[in-house]
Amino acid sequence: MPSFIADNYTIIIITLGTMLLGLVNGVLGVFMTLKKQALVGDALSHATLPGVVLAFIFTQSKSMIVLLLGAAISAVAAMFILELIKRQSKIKYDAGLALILSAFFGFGQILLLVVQTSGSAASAGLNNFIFGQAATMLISDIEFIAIISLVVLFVIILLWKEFKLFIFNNEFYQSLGYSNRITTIIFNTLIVIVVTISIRTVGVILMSALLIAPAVAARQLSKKLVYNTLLAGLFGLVSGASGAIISSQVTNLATGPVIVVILCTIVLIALLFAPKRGVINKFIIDKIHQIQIRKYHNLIHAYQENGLLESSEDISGLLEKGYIEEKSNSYYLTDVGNKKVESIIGERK
Amino acid sequence: MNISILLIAVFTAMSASIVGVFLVLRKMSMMTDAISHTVLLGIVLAYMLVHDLNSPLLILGATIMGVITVYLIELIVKSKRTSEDAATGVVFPLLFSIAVIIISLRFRDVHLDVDAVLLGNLEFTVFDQLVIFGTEVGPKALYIMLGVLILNLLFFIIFYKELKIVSFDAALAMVLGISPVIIHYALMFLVSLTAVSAFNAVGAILVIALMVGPAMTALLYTKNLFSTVLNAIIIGILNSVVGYLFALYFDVVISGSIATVTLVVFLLVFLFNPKNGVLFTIYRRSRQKNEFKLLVLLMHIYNHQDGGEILLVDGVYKAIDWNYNYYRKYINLAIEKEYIEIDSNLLKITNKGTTLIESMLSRSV
Repeated sequence: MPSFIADNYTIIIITLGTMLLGLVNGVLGVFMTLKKQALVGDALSHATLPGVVLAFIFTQSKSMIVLLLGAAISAVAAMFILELIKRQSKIKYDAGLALILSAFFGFGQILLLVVQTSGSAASAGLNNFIFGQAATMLISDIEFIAIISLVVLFVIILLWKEFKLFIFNNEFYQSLGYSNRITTIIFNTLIVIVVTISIRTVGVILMSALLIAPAVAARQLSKKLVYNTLLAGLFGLVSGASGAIISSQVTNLATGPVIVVILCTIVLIALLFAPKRGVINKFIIDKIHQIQIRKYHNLIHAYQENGLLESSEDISGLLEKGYIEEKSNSYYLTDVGNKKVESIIGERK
Repeated sequence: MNISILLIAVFTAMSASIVGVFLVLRKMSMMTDAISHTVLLGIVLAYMLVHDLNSPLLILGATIMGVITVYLIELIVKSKRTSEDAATGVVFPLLFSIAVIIISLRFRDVHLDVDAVLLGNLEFTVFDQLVIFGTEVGPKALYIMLGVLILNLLFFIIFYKELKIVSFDAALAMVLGISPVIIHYALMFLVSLTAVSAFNAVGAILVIALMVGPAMTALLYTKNLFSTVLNAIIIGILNSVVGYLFALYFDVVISGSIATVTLVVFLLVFLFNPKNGVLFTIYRRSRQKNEFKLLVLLMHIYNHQDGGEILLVDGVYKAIDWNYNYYRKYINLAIEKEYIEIDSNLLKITNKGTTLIESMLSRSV
């Protein structure tokens, strides 16, 4: 076993890192998707770029913590402008997202090219923040990611009830005396933190999929928030791990895109084959229902006519099954027939 | 200073602003984000077919992929399995990832750089000249952008009425026999085409700012659709000229500079616009609050003086339940404006104050 670990040391480290990131992104993504803030992650991840480069310019250090601190500050600034636009103008929220995303990224690009043309050799690698680079993760980075992820998960578990009410019944939440403003700040802080620790690995462009895709897949499988969260975390974890392993086996294959493709495959499978909400299952259920209605339309008609069946068609089959009975030359629904109709009509609900 | 680079920037900004207004109005701003990323897959797939990076088929393939992206997102939304933003956030990273994976596995040696597609390079567009009868007549990108601009302008002018009705009242449009779907997809086609053509110049991410930025800025102070589009175009031109000069002066990358200027201009209008800018709103609200508080104080004094009560300076604040310091502030303000006077520790309303209150009362009746 030790030799296995030694041989695959880097892969194991990276896999651990992407697993944790997948987990924490999946869990937080559930809340973001429910809060209709699915694309905030996308905007914020782009908005981190100027912060990363500025942190490098001021400190000349490429230490992960310094750069991520810069990223977080920049993301907070973006968040602040977004909230300001949302509260003080009639401009649609998504337009704000699009402008912030693009302009912050453009500003970051200016800074990045300035740093790179100034010839500072140490600046190499800042590019990793755009496209993501899991392969260069160190054990210290993983420790950092692990601590932050656990803190974020802990906060979510601690504020579980509060977040649940905040999202599903905001008026009631406020009537209980909770401050919407403080909750929003806490929630946004969590988003900023998670986005910040993830960009190094998946890159700014693919960030949104890491947050949203697990939530979308989980939503198809369950109606309960707890199961949604657990499933999304699991999907994130599994795709993080398998993405890292697959990309380590194929040369030139970046980790981020592989993770995203795996995640989206899970989404596709969930959309198509989920037991209740799945597109295919829904199709089959609808078809069966149609056939039932066509077969028993005489019974349904009778049900609406207080049980009196008037039909010129052959009804011997219905008689045989005991759905109808003969009373003074007319046919009436039996109790069994009543139940049958109710089960067909009720299915729709 | 290079006039053709500036012109490319201006044409790009103008074309983007026109479609941008409708994107912002129709709450589809993030669709640009999706389209501008997924066209990379279109380029890759078209390149796999023709093996020529300069083929016009690449532009066509990319444009079609943009429209397919919109269709896929809407397919998921229509199935009611998830919300639109979540669908967007899943579909475009997937298509983009597929493109990145294909590039890294099959075309590592081809100059199909993800970096270049995302960020663009306005400075290099001049090296790719259009040659007619052996003479160079200017950068290819200039003519492409001019073509797109003319197309967008024509679409806007010819279908102005349809665009307006479809954007604001889709139900009415259907009644009048205008198909929202056709207008919608025509618009999406133009958005996609604009994004693809702008690639060389500004790249996939910065074209988003060019599209939504001027439109958002114009929407802050205009109310009529036609003037919104006109203003958006003017702001677009302004942004690109200022951004270009800024980039020239500080020797930085032009596309990034234009995107930054776009945000700065939006924020300036957002904060300082005299009609409904944030700062003026805050100022107006605090002034209104002051006026209202002053009136409450005067009204109290007026009412109680009518009843012949004696009003001690140090007593009134308790009656109206104000904080003392706060109360003194308004007392001083009222004295300053000569609405009240203090006569040996008693508050008295002046004639000026009485007139004010009585005019307010008669106005409210």
